[in-house]
Amino acid sequence: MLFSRFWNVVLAFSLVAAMFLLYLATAVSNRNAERTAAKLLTAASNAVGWYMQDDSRTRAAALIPLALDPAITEGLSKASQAENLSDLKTDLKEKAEKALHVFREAGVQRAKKRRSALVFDALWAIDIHGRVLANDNFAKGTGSAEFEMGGYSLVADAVHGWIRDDAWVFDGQIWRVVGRPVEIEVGGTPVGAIVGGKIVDDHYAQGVSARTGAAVAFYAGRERVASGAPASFDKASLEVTSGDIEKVEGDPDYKEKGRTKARLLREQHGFDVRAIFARMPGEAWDLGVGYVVGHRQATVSDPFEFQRLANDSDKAKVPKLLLLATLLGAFLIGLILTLLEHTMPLWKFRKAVADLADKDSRTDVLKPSTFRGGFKKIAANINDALDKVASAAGVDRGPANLESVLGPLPAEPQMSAFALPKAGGAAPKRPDLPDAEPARKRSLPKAPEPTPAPAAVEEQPEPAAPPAAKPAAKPLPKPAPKVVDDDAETMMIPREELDKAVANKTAPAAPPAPAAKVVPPRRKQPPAEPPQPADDGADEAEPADEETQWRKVYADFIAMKKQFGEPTARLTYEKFRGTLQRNKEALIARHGCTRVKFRVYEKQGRAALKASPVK
Amino acid sequence: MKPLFDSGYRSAAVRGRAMTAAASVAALAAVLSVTSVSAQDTEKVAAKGRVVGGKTLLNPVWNEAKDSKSHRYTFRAPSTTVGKQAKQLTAYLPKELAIVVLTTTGKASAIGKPIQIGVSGGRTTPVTTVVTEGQNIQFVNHDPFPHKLYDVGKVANGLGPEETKPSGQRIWKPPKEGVYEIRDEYFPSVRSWIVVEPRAVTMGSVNFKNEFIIGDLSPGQYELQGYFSGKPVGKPLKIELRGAPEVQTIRDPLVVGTPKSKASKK
Repeated sequence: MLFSRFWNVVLAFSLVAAMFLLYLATAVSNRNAERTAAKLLTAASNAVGWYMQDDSRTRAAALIPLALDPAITEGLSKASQAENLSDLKTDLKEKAEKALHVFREAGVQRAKKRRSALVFDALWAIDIHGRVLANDNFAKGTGSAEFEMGGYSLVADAVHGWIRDDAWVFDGQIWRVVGRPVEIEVGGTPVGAIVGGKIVDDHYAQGVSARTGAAVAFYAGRERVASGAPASFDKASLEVTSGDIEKVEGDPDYKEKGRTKARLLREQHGFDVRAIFARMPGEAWDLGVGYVVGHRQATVSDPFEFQRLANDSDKAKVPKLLLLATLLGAFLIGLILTLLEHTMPLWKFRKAVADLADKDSRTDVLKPSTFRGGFKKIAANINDALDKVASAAGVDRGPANLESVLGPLPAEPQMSAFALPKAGGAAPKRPDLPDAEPARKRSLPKAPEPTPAPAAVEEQPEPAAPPAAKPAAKPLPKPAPKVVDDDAETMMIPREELDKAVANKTAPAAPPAPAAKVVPPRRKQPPAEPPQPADDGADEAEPADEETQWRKVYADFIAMKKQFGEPTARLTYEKFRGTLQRNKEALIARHGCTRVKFRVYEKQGRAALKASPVK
Repeated sequence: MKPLFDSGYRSAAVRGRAMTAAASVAALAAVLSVTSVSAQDTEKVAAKGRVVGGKTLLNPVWNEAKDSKSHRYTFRAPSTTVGKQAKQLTAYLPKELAIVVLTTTGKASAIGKPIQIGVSGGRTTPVTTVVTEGQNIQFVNHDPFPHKLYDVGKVANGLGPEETKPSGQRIWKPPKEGVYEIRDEYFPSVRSWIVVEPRAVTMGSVNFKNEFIIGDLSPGQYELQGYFSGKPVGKPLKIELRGAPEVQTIRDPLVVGTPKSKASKK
């Protein structure tokens, strides 16, 4: 399952990487959108400024006919020479007013036919002293004899021969005004000026928007006074509050350059309204008057927002074949790995179990080593379960002894590991069993193992030996061809003790008593197990030297551990020998045997050691 | 419309008698007629004179406004049909230059009536007003929209920002000697000065031809001083008024400015 798990890790990493990239794309998209919005807004704000400048120039030029009107020139000439305007003939003022009115009305009529025609909301004829000779559409409240307009720099410039524009604020209303001089003769001194004004209202703002494409709002006194926007833009999004203006007025760029950078005006679901505020040139500059251009910038709060924002064109650009190929490839890889590492081992295991269950089969145990991963453990457990069931049924499926490997041994071998006599006597014979039919069998009757591996042996207390004889009372249909001495007494050295010996270099080993724990009979290991170290003749014959034997056992043990991939670096012979010595002493003390034989065997895929007392 | 040739104080003796050179005789007759009305003031006389060097004075508001850095316009171009000489921006002296009569002995006393300053058309009339200590000032709004005047120095008992409705007025007494710059929160072009000068007896203004008549003066020695943009300009001119005639012409002109060429030579 290693590759399957690795594939899952790959998929997990791929998913995380995809999510990371999506969120990264979200941030990049928002940043790019913000940058694009800033550029668009800067262009729009400049366009509005240029439009107003161009509009002012056009309006100033449009006043030329009026500046040449005899009623205006004559009236202003005489007014400039008069000490008091009241001294002038009334018809001069009337003629001037009529000329202004006719001029303005003509513009209004033109605008009805042609939208782009210029319209003035008010016109003034001002003499050289700044006094208003006549005005049109601005008479309300100007009846005072002291009323004049000479203090405005636009008027002062106009009566000094300059053409320019300005922005005034009358009672909270923004006026875009232009002025030009009125002369009697070319090259002479002006006799007055003509000033035309246009109120900045929604109509004006809409005209600005129509010609610049910008969504624009004008504000004065910290309130929006006019707005205009393309049809695709909701003008309500350009609502400007006093709080907005207050923040803007603290902006260094706004104060010094008259224009802010693109800034967030409103946050709404799915989009932000970004805006650039600009001050309006003219007297209005110092009165907090300006205009704001807005832009709706779609925002992506999370990657799923892309689905909402995408249109058909965007979706068409998605490489669907690549995605499909990736999907299929990932699926196939996963499928193959699953087949290789899950289905096939399972199939193999299932087949092995089926073979085990087959009555006609000679297989009576599973071979854990032929399986991989968890199946190995399951197989071992199944074998143990079979042993347990067999044991309960009186059949000893315990491990084979040396005799099972090497063949029948002498009845009373001096060195028999399985003929441990009772204390004070030779190994007793079971009176209830014929000599040729030993009571204990090491394999299931139905399927005698052809080459049983050396079996693990557990220590059995002497009184407990008889249980092994029970199966003899119930012979199975297919008795095992090989029998072993039923008096065999062996002890499995607990693996923990070995491991402990490996782990603890200095501490003394655990007392041997726990190692002598009684365990139930064990089954015989399948023949396909890794080759067990064969018992050499020294085991069966009188050992010349115990130390030599132990060294060989140690070498076998190390070799088997390496074979099963177990660590061996820390297991020294000295520690190993200590363990053997303790077990030996324990067995001798318990059984009164002369010596103990140790053998190496494989148990559930790991190296194990067994001890057999020898009389 | 306020007469252009007028005493800023609108005194009973010479109230509102502006005159041009061509109508000087008529103006003088008017002064005399007013004088004859107030028989008890027979000792009051008027001083008539002229100023020179006025063309060197520049209106600071206009001068700043023509600078593109002041952001007062999107475009400003000279008219090709206007002579170059006419394009020179100069101060409008009838409203901006104050001819102040200073006593040479002690302090002058305030008159009972408040001095009127009109507010209209982006400026006040007069632009510079010189008064003695304790003199009340009355601002009158002649525009069809409100104004909000205040003194820039924001001194104690100064002129706080207060809205004056159309045709409305407000009275203020400068607290002490000094120069008070007055501005309008609604109209940046409004920039006026009130000078409290203890020696200021009265003040007047010039007409189109830079001539002035200042009346309601007792015979004696005075000093004439031009004030522009809140500051004395030119050279003071010492005069002596006798008991008669009613209007006494001052022979020497009041110098309010020196042409740049002359100034550089000096």
